[in-house]
Amino acid sequence: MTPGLSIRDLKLTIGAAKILDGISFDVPAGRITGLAGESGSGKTMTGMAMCGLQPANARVSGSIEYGGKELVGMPARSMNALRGREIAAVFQDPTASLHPMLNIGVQLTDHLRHHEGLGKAAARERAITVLDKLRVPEPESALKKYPHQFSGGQLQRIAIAGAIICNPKILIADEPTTALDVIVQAGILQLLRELCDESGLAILLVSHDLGVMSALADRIVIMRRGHIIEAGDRFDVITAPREEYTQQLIASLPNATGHGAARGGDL
Amino acid sequence: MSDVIEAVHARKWKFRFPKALRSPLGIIGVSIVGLWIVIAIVAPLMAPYDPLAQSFPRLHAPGSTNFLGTDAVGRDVFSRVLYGARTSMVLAFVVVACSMVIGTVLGAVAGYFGKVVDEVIMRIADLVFAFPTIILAMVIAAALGPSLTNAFIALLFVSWPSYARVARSLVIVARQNDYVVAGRLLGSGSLTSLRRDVLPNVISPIFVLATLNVGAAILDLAGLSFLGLGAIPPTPDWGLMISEGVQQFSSWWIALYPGLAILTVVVAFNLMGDSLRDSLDPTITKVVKERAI
Amino acid sequence: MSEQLLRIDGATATYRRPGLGRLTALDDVSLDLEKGHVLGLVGESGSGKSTLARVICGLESLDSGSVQFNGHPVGKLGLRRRPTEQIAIQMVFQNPYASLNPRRTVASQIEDGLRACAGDQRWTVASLLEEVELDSGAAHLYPNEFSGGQRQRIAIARAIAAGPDLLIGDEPIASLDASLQAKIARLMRNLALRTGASLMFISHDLAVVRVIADDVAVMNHGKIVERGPVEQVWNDPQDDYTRRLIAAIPLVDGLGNLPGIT
Repeated sequence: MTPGLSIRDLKLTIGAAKILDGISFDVPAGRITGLAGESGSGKTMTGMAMCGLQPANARVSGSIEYGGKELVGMPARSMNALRGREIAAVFQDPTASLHPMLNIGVQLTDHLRHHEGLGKAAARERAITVLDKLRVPEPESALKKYPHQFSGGQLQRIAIAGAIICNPKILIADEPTTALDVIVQAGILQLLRELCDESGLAILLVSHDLGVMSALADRIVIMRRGHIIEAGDRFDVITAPREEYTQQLIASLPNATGHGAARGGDL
Repeated sequence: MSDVIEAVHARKWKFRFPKALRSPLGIIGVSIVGLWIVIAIVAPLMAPYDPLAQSFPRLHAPGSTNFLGTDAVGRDVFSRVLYGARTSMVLAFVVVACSMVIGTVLGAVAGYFGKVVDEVIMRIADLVFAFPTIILAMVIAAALGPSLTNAFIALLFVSWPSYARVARSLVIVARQNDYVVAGRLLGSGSLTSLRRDVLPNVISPIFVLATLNVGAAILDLAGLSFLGLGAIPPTPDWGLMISEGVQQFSSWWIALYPGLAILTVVVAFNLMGDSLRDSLDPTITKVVKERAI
Repeated sequence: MSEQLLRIDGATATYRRPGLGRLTALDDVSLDLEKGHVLGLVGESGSGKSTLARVICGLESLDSGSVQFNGHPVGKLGLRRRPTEQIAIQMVFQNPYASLNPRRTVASQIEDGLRACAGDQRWTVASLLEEVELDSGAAHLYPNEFSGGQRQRIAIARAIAAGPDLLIGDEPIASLDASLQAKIARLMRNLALRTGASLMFISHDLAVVRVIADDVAVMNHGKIVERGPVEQVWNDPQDDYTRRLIAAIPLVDGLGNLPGIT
């Protein structure tokens, strides 16, 4: 069973600003944990702290425990070995998270070869396998292409491929579908679910969109201004939120009439 | 539910000068420039002697009467260096300011309106770029006749294209911003749009370029004067003084001190320009970065 | 009977992409909009909805077809000032961080809108700010003091200040938090209708459009594939693409059902 990640009393300050003020939750393996909140809640910074990518001037205290190791205060070298290999991340805008001037092949295999010492051919094979699994059309020719030649949805699949190619245990997905059209989003959500179910990956899904949470997350953690307001099973949090803030968040959604909304056509 | 903004004291958008100076090198740069500006203003009060008065023993080494020595016709070098700030430095400022304005306007027009206007302006700029600066300036100055005014015109002619190019690139990007489009939708004409929405948002990098160019302008001016194409004797101009000093090489003080003056001003402006450039990140982007978590 | 405000007839717009041939952004699009109506224009990236908005505003030109606004044809914006009749078409853009000039105060930018208003002026800067639920004392501040949602409200205020007959929102809520989206959309609807304007609300999110629009038109690859009253399209979509679009919207029911795809 692959290990998950545990956060205990995590605090993060930048200057005088308390971005995270003592948060605690688990990201268990084989499950998708949703971290929801508005802008400024600290959800993205939590994800960044998990992979050691918080700003250089941020002071972090508390504990992020992964596989018996303590990530807070881990020396850079050890963190580098973990990042990309065991803890990976996917971000909102694939056009910004992929290098515009390097072809896909290089971007997928570079860190793979570094972490696992594979030769060029073996790395290429692995890249093609992963692209195929993520349903990127024509994986072999895709390797030679550049990011601008792909659509948003395909590019996000490629970004996810880059993240999972080293078979990480933890995947942080920071607003992975926010920049995508709704039909494309549905495909990516399905993809993330499959990845989690098949390989026991622990996924932290960060998003402001409770609709996405409702579809994908197993557990939902609601954040506000650096605190955790509410946490629980997806169904409980959405249908019977205890906190007023959560209730307001859900009520503000257009299709919050959720389980009552009439749907058209055959599904 | 009212979305209340906390009472923040009206933080007007400040020109970024003060922030830039907070770097140690920036402070040094501005101090030196400031000092020279003061000297240029108070030279008549500060100089011990009349810079044109040939009243001292010639080619006298620096001593108690003449702090920096005397030149080939018996004039006090110290006084001449001080007065030189009025000609060399001030003229360099004016050259840079004028070429910045002309170049920016032409470049902005080229960038905003595009098509034929863009082509015409940029090809003229390319034409000027094709020549080495100092050679072209020499040719123009020689053609017009040696005088400070003509040197000024020559340098103006060779300097405006670099601002035009920078301004054009910046404007091409800036004009696509939604707020520029919104302005047009609200009925502002092209020129108003350019003036009000585009130019103020591109001025910072251009100002940095100008600051870095002041040093070059002083050198170019000094070069022209050195070649006899700028200041005419007996004007106390740093370039001219170096030229005269070169002919009296054993009397090293005649060329050295004006040379040092040029050096300090150029370095000071470079320090200022570098400091300005480093602090160019708009406050806006920082706020966005801080808020979006 | 409502008068026709906007009439688009057979609009076709194509672009030449270097090395890639011609791209058809709009393919024989016909649409009309009445006074005092809210139309939702739904489609994904590349569907042509933004191009249509830009064409209506006069920011882009058509290869063929026509756009008539209040009986006058709408032409492309040139170097001169926009014709006065067309100032009655205003737009709110997607990116709140790019729609306000960072060097000018909020008040001066809203005043641009007030000055542009052709008819009698019913607003002041203060009253507009209150109308969009911002503190009127914030008028002297600069855009960088505001969050994305607040900036969008200011952009709406600026557009309404000009007294438009047609307000177009080009994905105005896409960059905002989910919790704010419905709120701002409703604000646009209410404000537009109160001031006698029609609203064309462009979005890829059919769920939000459902909340505020009277009619909806669905676009795909430059064509309008379905058009009708919003509840009818939502409950009984005729076109296959519309069905897929609806099926892909995640329900907030806590059941963990992945939205359908084909």
